Amino acid sequence: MPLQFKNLNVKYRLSGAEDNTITALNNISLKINEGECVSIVGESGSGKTTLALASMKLLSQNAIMTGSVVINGVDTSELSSEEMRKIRWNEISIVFQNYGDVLNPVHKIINQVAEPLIKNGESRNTALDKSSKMLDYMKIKTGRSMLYPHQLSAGERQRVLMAMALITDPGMLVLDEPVASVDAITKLYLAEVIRKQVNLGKAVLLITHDLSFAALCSDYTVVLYSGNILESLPSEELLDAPRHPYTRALVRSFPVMERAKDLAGVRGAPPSQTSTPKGCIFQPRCTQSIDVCLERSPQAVSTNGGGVVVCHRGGIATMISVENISKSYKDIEVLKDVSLKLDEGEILALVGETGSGKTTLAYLIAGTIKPDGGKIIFREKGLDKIDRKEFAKMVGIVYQSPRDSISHRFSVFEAIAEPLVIHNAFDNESAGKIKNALREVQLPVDDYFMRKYPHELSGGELQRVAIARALILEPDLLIADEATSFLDPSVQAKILRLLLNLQNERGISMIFVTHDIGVARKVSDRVAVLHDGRIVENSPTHHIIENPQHEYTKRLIDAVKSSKISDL
Amino acid sequence: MHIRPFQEFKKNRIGVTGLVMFLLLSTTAILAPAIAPHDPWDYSDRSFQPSSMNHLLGTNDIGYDIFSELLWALRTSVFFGVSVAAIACTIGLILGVSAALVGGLYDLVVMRIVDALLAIPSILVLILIAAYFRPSTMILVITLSLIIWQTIARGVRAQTLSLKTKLHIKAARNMGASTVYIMRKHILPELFPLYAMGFVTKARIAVFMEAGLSFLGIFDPTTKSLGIMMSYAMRYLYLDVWFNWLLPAVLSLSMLIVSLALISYAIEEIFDPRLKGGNNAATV
Ligand SMILES: Nc1ncnc2c1ncn2[C@@H]1O[C@H](COP(=O)(O)OP(=O)(O)OP(=O)(O)O)[C@@H](O)[C@H]1O
Ligand code: SF4
Ligand SMILES: [Mg+2]
Repeated sequence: MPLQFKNLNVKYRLSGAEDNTITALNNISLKINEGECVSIVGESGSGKTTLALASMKLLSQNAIMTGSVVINGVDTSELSSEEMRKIRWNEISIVFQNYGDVLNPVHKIINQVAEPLIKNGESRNTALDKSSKMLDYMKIKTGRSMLYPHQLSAGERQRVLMAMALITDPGMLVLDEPVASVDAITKLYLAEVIRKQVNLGKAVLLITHDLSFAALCSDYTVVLYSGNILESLPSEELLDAPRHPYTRALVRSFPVMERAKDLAGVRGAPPSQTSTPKGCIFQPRCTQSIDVCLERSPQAVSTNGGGVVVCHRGGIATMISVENISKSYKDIEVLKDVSLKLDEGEILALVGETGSGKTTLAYLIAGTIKPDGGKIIFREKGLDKIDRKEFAKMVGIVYQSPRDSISHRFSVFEAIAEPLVIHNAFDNESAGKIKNALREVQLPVDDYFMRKYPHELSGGELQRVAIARALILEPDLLIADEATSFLDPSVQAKILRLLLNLQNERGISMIFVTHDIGVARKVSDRVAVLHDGRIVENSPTHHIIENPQHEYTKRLIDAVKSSKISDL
Repeated sequence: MHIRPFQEFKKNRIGVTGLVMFLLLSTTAILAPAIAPHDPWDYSDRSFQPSSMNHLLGTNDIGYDIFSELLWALRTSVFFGVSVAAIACTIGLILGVSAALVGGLYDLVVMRIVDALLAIPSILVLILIAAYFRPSTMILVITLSLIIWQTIARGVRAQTLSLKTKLHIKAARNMGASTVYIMRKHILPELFPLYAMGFVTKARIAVFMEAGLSFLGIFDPTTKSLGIMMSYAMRYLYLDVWFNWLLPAVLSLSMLIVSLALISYAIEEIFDPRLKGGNNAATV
């Protein structure tokens, strides 16, 4: 076992009182095998660098460490600093995050890369020769190896550090942000280098912000949050099937080329590290927390994807599962054996041509019509067993035709107030709430506008009134049937942004029915394609767009591409 | 298209004229006991007196003060019209809405009754009942109500059925609204033109029926009635009483009926698209 962390705790003592500490790492257990690359991802300040430093026994003076780091079966806490120095560079080497401090400004880089070899007793000439080859390998142009660090670009310096780490051919490699300032092509090359080293049998601990780089290089990814491991999962699942709400939020805030969905940050800020909460550390930012999350800290549970997730709910919970639903109107079979899942906080786009059964499926999920066969489960309860009024409070619906869905007798104000009135929730604060809702959907909030009747509004305005009405009770699920079809592109963009924001801030789940795969691509996490009453495809949005499997999906995408080439 | 009925009505000259006429007539009728100069059952005076300051329209064959009698007769007409209309509308509304909402066997039964009532000639039935039983005014009011509600029920049912499928009502249901809420906020307001129209039409029929029956003499003769006045005035036409006796009665009756006709004309004009039975006008 080359590198292993056992119940590692690191605290930093802060200036002042003795017990004034912050927790940088909390009970980390982790192992990295030979020929394996594990990446650590997490927000800034989550303790990634601390972990890297701990592995090399390089923590600063004010750090208090408990637990152990085992290198090749040797517990490093028992080693003297002399013994440790030997291990460093020869058995385990590191590429530091802050390269500037590491390189000596008065020595040529070729000399600096050769230095560990010379210290190991190799002749100066062989060392320089190897150094030059290694710099070549790192794609530093021959002439440039004679330069001084300050004459190199940031990316070049990064590669010089990499060369330094590799020159002694250690069995373990710790890389702290090796690609933070390199361009995409170099990044790809470095990924190749890392993969090659892993295949040669090295154990690599890769610390990175860059989720796609983690997915590309590593076998496993460990998600660190405020010093705690929240999830570890096979890296190929990182971008497509994260299990922990935090991992998903990270993925959503990370720009990936293929992904067109707008980015959203992780809501809220990381917790204070001076006190440890009783419950789940992610709870204040979690959109699916339950009572127990406040009381007890969750245990790690294994997922069926081969990873481990630390969450009371076993990771992202399923909100709705539709199981083998069928539905006919008279003799026409509209839906045939449809199954579908919707996670908490997920936006699912239901795409398909007119008459493919999109609205029927949406209404079935909304509980407004009953299926002929199969069942629908909402938060682990059969839909038919849930009180209709309670359910109505949790589900907002935007109908396909806004003009028909709002009574012509209701003014804008009355229309948006209706759900509040129905649920006896109309009080002195309601007027303010309604104004807020109007603002959110980009409508005026003056009395004149609020007194207008539907026939005095444009289709787009009405649609936004309908959206405001659907959101006024702060539902957990929004079913939007062509909710943006009447809107001009600029308002549409704003509404889509609003919906994404709701997803991010409130963790609202959405079923976004649309015939426009271009819109689906912008908002949804997943796309289900409905064709002839069946779901012919159901995958993460960027997969569907990049690599549609079904003939029908391909046609759908081609149609959009040819008509909206500029927008894509 | 959205319609705010009261604003629209206010702008409708014909409607306003009708309403003002009706209100004047009914106020007079209500105040009859207070403003009638004589007791209309007091026959102590000389008969066939011409108009004078004491007897504005003179006296009749048995010495009643015709003017006082006219006011009381108008009172009967208005009372009859309004009560019949109110009762018939209430029955029609309740049965029509409930038939549409409940459906099933209940709906079937209600609709069969409606069909049956539509088939029989209500005037004839009323004449027979009145002639045979000589019922009191109250009984007659109820009887007439019971045989003329069917058209209202039918219209209300049709409209409710079409409303039921409207998206905004489904939407309210999906928001968790109760049936009572939906009735109050979405269905009854929508039905307003129907029962406004029904009310006026039924009132007109009732006023006309009451006058007709009493003219034919098959109505409680002790009640003051425009029909009875006309029928007696006709008997003494040779005495040249048409001007102070027949004409006022005929004019009063006509004005009452005309006022109601004007109102219904206005309502029809305002709500026209929707009176033609549950099309989409309500939501287009
Ligand atoms: N020497 C130190 N003294 C006190 N606190 C420290 C020290 N080093 C790090 N910390 C704190 O420990 C926490 C973890 O820091 P660390 O550098 O490991 O984060 P990181 O995940 O590497 O962040 P980044 O992505 O920005 O590199 C942070 O809150 C940081 O402020
Ligand atoms: S559901 Fe609970 S345990 Fe899971 S991440 Fe959210 S707050 Fe933590
Ligand atoms: Mg760091």
